Amino acid sequence: MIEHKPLYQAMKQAVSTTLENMIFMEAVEHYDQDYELPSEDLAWTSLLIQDPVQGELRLAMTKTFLRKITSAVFALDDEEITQAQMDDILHELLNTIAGLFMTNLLADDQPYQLGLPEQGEGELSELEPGSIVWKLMTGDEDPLQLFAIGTTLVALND
Amino acid sequence: MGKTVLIVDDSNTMRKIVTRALRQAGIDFDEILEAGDGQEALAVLADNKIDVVLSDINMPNMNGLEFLKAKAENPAIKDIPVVMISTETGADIIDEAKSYGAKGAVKKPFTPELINEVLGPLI
Repeated sequence: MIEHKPLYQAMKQAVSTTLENMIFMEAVEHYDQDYELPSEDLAWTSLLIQDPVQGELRLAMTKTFLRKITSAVFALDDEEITQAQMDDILHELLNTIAGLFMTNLLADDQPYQLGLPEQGEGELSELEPGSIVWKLMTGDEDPLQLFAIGTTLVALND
Repeated sequence: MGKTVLIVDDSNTMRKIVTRALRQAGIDFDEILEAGDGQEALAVLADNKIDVVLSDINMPNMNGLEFLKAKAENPAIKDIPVVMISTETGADIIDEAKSYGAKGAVKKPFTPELINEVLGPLI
């Protein structure tokens, strides 16, 4: 039995703190919880949680928003941004969110192990039943979504 | 007199974010140098006068712990203070880093205030 704190709140807090500290943006729940990211403007990455539970986290946002973040972090004009810079930012955001999420989630400084972020290709593949989705947006209403997948991980939401 | 800091991280993004946090922390750095892994960091330390190092743990080629070990074996650079920056702050890995000479650890995502708090006493 793993001692843990509320899963949903652990993720909201992790995203909020990460966006605030890394890119100076606030994150709140999206006003439209039926909102879906447009497949033609989609960027996403995934990362495995290996221990003490097994599952996968995905971070998805519009390419438009990702370009905006990249422009701000690297202080570049839009036409100067490279795909590698955009990929790097997406990976670092998920890596940081995942670490903070696990720290928030697990009680008493329990150790955890994460895999490395991997670039998502094409559309987000269909989620397993019971997967958890956080539909969030920034203060400028740029949308982003987090997904928790995997039975032992999502079981912590009970 | 300003100091020179070396940021070691395989992510260009994180190097930019750490650089920005250092500037916002109000610490007087003359120069901020960068390296993409432990091997590159050792080369930068050999060629430059560095006052403090901020290093990631998980990196390709030579990770942060291997970098600390290699640095500790070189008398010319072994006393340069290193602070680890990582998503991992489990007691085990931080204790291991400290056993190889790390002076502290900062968990991502960090604030400029935290950077100042940890780095301030070292420079």
